[in-house]
Amino acid sequence: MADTKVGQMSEDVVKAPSMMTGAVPTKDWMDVPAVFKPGNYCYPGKEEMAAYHNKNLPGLFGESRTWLVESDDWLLPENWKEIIIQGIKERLDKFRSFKIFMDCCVRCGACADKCHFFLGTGDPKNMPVLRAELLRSVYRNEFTKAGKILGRLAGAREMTFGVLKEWFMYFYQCTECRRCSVFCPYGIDTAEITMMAREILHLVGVNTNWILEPAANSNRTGNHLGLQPHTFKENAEFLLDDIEEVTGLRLNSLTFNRKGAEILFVIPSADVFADPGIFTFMGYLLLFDHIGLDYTISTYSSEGGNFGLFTNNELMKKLNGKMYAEAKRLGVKWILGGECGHMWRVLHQYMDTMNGPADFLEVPKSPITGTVFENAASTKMVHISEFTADLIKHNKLKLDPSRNNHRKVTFHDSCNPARGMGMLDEPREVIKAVCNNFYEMPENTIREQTFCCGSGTGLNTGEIMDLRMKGGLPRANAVKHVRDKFGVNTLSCVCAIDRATLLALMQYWNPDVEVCGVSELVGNALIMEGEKERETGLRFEPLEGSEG
Amino acid sequence: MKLVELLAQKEDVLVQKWLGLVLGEYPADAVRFLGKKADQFANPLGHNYSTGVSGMFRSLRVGEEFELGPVLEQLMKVRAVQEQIPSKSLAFLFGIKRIVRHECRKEWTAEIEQEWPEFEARVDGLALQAFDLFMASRERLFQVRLRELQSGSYLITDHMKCPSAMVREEKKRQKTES
Amino acid sequence: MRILKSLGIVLVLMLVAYLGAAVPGGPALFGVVFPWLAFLIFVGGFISKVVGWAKSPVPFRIPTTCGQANSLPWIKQNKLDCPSTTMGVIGRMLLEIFAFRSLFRNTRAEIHDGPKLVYGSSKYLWLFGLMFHYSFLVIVVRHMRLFTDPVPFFVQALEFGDGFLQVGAPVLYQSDLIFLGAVTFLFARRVVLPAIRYISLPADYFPLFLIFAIGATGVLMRYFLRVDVVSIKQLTHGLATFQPVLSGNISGIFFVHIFLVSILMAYFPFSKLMHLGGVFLSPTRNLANNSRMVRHINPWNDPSIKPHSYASYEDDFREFMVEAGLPVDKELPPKPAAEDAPAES
Repeated sequence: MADTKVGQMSEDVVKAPSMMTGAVPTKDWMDVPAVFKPGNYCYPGKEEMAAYHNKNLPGLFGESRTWLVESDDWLLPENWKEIIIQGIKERLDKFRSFKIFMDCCVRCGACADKCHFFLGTGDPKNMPVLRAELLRSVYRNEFTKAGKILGRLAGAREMTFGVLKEWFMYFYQCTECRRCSVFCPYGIDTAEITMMAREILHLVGVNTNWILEPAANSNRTGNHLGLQPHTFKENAEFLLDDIEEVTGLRLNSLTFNRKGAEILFVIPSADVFADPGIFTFMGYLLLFDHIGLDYTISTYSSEGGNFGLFTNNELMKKLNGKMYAEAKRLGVKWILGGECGHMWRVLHQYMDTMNGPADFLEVPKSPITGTVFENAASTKMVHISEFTADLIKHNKLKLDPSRNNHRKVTFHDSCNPARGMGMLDEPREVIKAVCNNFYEMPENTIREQTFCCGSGTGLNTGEIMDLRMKGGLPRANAVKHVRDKFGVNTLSCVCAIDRATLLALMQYWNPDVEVCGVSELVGNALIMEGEKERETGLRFEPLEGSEG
Repeated sequence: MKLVELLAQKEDVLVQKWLGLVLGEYPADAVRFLGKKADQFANPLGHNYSTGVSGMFRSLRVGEEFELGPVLEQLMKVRAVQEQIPSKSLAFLFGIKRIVRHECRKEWTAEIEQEWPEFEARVDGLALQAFDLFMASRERLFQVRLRELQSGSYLITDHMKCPSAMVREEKKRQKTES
Repeated sequence: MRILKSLGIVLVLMLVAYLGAAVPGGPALFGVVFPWLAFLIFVGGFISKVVGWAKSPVPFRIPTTCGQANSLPWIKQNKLDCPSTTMGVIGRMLLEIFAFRSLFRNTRAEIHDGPKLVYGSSKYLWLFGLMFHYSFLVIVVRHMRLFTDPVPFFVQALEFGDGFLQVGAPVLYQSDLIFLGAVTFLFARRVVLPAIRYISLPADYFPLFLIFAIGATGVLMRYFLRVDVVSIKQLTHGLATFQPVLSGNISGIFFVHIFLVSILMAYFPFSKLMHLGGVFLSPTRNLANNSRMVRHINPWNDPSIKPHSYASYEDDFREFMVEAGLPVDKELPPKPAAEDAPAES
């Protein structure tokens, strides 16, 4: 009753209360259209990008064309509905997960308030259950008896252009973070549904450029930034100069494409190019030099991150295939992976299945501690945090954690390592060994309940900055809490997308909090042999006690 | 009774109504959720709104004594990313005048009527302060975006501007010329 | 609207059964034919649905890891929320199926301003969900008395336990109360919570009304109307042994009850109620998180999808690589080649 009065009043104040995406409260959700306006959608894929992918994987990326999201004509193929229905059918037959998740949701609503996009936007279609219903309603209409006979009474509806628009809007407001899946009594994973929906959308050429172009770059140049081999090498070597300035040491252990190295090290390419990933990269290099690791980095397989994951499983496989191919060509024993979120989702849950068996590699064994990584016995890839935590446990590192005293650190569990891998304690072990000030964020925002940065799965693009700030609000809010309570000034993470997007998120919500990779903290704390007394950290910030 | 006392007495209901005005812009089912769930981590949007609105009200009531800055800034940061034009984002601020008059109509006295212009002036002052913070937030948002552009990850993916691609073009040209 | 439609359908069904049983031949139809038919549909539909799910392969091993994974020996694994062995998976599934582990997760204590501890509606969901399912199970098992002769000991034991308060005559079963209470809660929750109401379909209300009506008619028969149990048992036992006997003493409400049960059984395989079967097959729960330890096989893995090869990569960039001092597999041709660099994508 109070609501109606308030409603009237709000109408008095502003004539028509603006609904965030055109939603009108009294209507059934099926009757609320998706409205695109600048700032709430990603730019569509460039024609040549779709064409490029179509050349490599025929039929999966629709017809290449130039189209506008805000237009009412997306220049879809004549038979686009058939393509979509056929696409659903194919995937029902290929993925048991999809089939079951379409059938057994009881709409209990346990997931509803678990999604960072719902929490940040208040848009009901961002409740995971409703996001899935967008697709489920069409599934019922085409593939279930109840839906065919009872139609809308059974929650079924026909595939229309309006539905397609909804799909494009809401399956690109999901970062496949799997937080809802933790709370679902049947383990329904919206990430899985979003993946299917995106695969299907690509079939009719509905796509975003920020995903297609990095994927094309990764395929051709080896990394999503499109850095060519010499540029990649130059950038990395430029960072050696920085290391020299900070430590007084010129590292000469960094090599590229070197045959016969023991270990191939694969990183997200942003680590050699983008601030603050570059400091993480410097941390890796210091660590490997410190322990005398025999490793090499490949310019051909210079992208750990896999933008294919955001399109379809075929492109994911194609991009991922480079790692084993390169490991084989170089004749390494095993592969070490850097700090990257969705890269590890692919490496942990897909790689071996798609591109294995890696029988030309050996079961990873740390050359320093002798630890055999049994948990990677088949895939033969080890995470840098596992590797470092093992070194620390065996006291193989000389560390001075006081060099991180100017940092009060908290740790953001990246979605994929947390909920797609279960790597929760390793990075914490590392952080606790190299920092004296570590504070956890509130319990329901970390570990398996961690909140996404709000910009994963190819949503880290500038044109949707408003949306990203909203989607990241739950995370930013938890950071604000530890900042206010403990004075936290550093948000550490093990993900390249996080390093880029949490940076933007913090600059907006908590400007005095910096973002860093865990390995940067390691690099700061490592006491290198023959180094000069350090006055600054790896990003040239003065250390505590030494005024810069 | 003085206006200040009346406001203190009716603080709860007035804050609730004011909050309702903000939340009224969200789809109905989101409103209850945003308004109800108190956990600041499980419901950050609602938390920010209720902290912001009750903070603003307190400052209207007690004036300088209440340190409004950070609270208002956080609220404006939230408002600044709601994909609305500024007037719509800020209109709710003035709504408190109407709400107070309506809710306190029974207790309204000549004395209060006399104090009223000053209260209105305070609301206007608050609105201006909020407007500054709102614009600063927009400004910050664009700064963030600009910084992201400058950091190069966008440029580098664009073939035309990729430094290495340009070098290569250059070499190609030299080769064909020679 | 969605609510009223569902309620209307259930009421119509009840009326149909009540009136239908009164006309000649009606008792046989509602008491024998429909239950048999419904049972057939239930069993057949259930099996075909599960087989249908099972026909689709599980191409990737995608458990949702809800705790620390099996990793270095000195890092403590959460063996139930992130199992890496079959035993662990069995444990996880048991917890999920018998204790609704994932729903329970909702109840973790949350810090509120205050500070105070507040229990969200989600905890109630877990609690009432559990009460509903268990009392349903108890009631189903208790009904075995009607289909068996002699009545198995566990049914008798359960009946005794269920009525241990020894209140009233006939003895009140706690499960009946809990059952109706829980269904009411689940319904009220759907109506009261706006978010849940928004997402609810007629397909969510209908089973609730149906189940409530089944419970209510059952309770009426047992405690208030005192139907002729002997004739009913004769009929039901006959249903199970394929020798149904219809005596004239069975009252109309029994036919309403059994007709609704028949509807429920027939409706079951085509509805969300199939979560009963789905929960066992959910790939995010029933797989071990050992993806890097044991290779998972995807039956439709397409070996023809190959990465962009190193050779063509080097062909693209050889000149620059040599210039930058990067090792190459194939040296540059001795003379500067006249042809252009390979085409850009």
